[in-house]
Amino acid sequence: MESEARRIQATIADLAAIDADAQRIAEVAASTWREIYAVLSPVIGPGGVTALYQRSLYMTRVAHPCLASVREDALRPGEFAALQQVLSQQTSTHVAAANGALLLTFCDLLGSLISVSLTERLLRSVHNLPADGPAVPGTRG
Amino acid sequence: MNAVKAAIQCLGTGVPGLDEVLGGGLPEFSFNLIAGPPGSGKTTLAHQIMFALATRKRPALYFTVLGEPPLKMLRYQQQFEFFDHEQVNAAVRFINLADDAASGDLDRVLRRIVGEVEAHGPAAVFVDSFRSVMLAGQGDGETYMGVQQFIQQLGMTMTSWQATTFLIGEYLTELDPNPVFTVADGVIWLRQSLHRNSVVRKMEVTKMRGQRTLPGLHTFRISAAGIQVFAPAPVAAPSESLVAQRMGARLRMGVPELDRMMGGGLPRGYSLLIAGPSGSGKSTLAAAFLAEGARGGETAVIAAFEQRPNAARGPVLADLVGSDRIGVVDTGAPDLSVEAITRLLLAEIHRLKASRVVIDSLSGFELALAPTFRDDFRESLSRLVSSLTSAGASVVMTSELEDRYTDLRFSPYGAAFMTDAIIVQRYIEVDSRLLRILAVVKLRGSDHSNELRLFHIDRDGIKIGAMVAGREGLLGGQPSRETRKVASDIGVEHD
Repeated sequence: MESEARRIQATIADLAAIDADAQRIAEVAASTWREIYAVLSPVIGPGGVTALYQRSLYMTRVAHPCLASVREDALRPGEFAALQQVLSQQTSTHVAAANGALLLTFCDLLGSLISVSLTERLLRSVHNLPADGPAVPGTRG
Repeated sequence: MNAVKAAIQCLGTGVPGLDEVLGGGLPEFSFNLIAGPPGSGKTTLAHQIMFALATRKRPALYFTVLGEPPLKMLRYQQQFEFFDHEQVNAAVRFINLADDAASGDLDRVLRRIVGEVEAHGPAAVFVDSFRSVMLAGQGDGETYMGVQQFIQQLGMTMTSWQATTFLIGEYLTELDPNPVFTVADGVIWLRQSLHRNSVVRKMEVTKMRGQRTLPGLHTFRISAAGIQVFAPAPVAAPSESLVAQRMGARLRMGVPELDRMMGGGLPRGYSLLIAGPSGSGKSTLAAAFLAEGARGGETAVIAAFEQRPNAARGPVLADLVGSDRIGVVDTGAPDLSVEAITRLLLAEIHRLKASRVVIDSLSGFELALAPTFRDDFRESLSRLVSSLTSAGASVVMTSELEDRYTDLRFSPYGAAFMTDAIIVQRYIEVDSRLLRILAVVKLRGSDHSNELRLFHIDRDGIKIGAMVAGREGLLGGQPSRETRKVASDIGVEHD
């Protein structure tokens, strides 16, 4: 399911494949999250996005223990610096995998609450992706 | 100077029945309040109207303020058929104002709303809930004037931006001196009325500037399709030429001898009441009426309130129902009102272009109604008959009548006066047998037989026999003079 999540996840995996360093991938990941936040918070409220993000971190950290240390920071709506910090300390393959899993969990969770099709519909405008041109990290949020 | 008045366009709300209650629709650019207690359907009504009004060119903005978490609102609202996912973020935009409202600064809330309105140029704006805005305003030591100014400015701004606006508010009461009631052009109340164990949803439009709304409480129902309002059906008195035309076009009853007794059958557009005690053959006669119509290629609609409608219908009617020659109206809803049945019947009449309608029986109908509607049964029934006949249908109703031999009654509801024709069935005792008689008691504007005729029911239906000659006091149930001829006339063997 979650074709939008897969699309976003794939572009980050692409970055890992072309040997971008972890720092760069973490930047793109955080910037993507800021976009997701910007797109969703008007609709489901800042509190709604933050609650889902926290829950996703909680669920993903079993498979990716590095995410455990992000939790504190996740209490502040729209704040993804801690995630970026944690991700940038991993290997590029790890970053892509951990962030991809987090993204999928998040979309699954949202999909289970407001349906997959509405989730897709809302995330369609997240476009901070290399396919649109060179990714410019951290310009939103 | 020639004064040309501003034209107020009416918008279709997309809620079946609501446009009629609003007197033709919702005035464009009006500032409205949807009020009612929690759970009364305010958010659903707002969403249904929003999806109807929104277009990609002129979208709708739905501001959520504290209150119900938007995640849950989306989760539940998307269950309705009108919720079109593809319109979200295109024609329909949700904007959460929780942060702005939490600041307690109404100016900031207003600025944010105005900013979004400027950005999107919406045709419709919704603020859910308005109470949250007010609480936010009061929470930070704001005065009452703050709220009033907020409402006035919001109303003015939205109208100048040509947006039709809806505030959704709970816990408001009509006695509350809330300024919103003054500012609003339209106020729609949603209520849940409790009577004994039954709850019925009702809607009232207490204010709608410039519109001739239908006064009173109108029942509505929430189903998967959304809200449906049961506005009173229009009633038009038939013209004299139409009446004359109908007299010429008689509907056969499916019992040839009865047609003769009725001077050729039931005039088209007439209502007929078949009254009689339990088991006397009312439903059988009504079924014959339907089957006769089907034989002539006519379609019909039936509202059956018997406990086992399928068993009572018999195989012929069941086939006709199966092949959609006869439409069946759902009579099982717990919040049933006469208006709802009228609307459902009219919808089926239009769908099937039906000319015959059967309501079997009025006694079952009354029992099926939500208790709160039973007090007004007579009035409502009269409107039902008028609206069905003015739609051109001929209506046959059956009515259970307790056999009383001390007086002559036709209906427990005084339904007799409101119908154009009456056939009464009774039991009489002859030679230790229970025999049935029937008579055409009334047929407005037409000659009809005045005979009391014996009849019996066999596999082929109703067979009308001879008059009961040589006896009197039949309506007392125990005819006084004895003749043995009577029973043999209708083929009853003597012991």
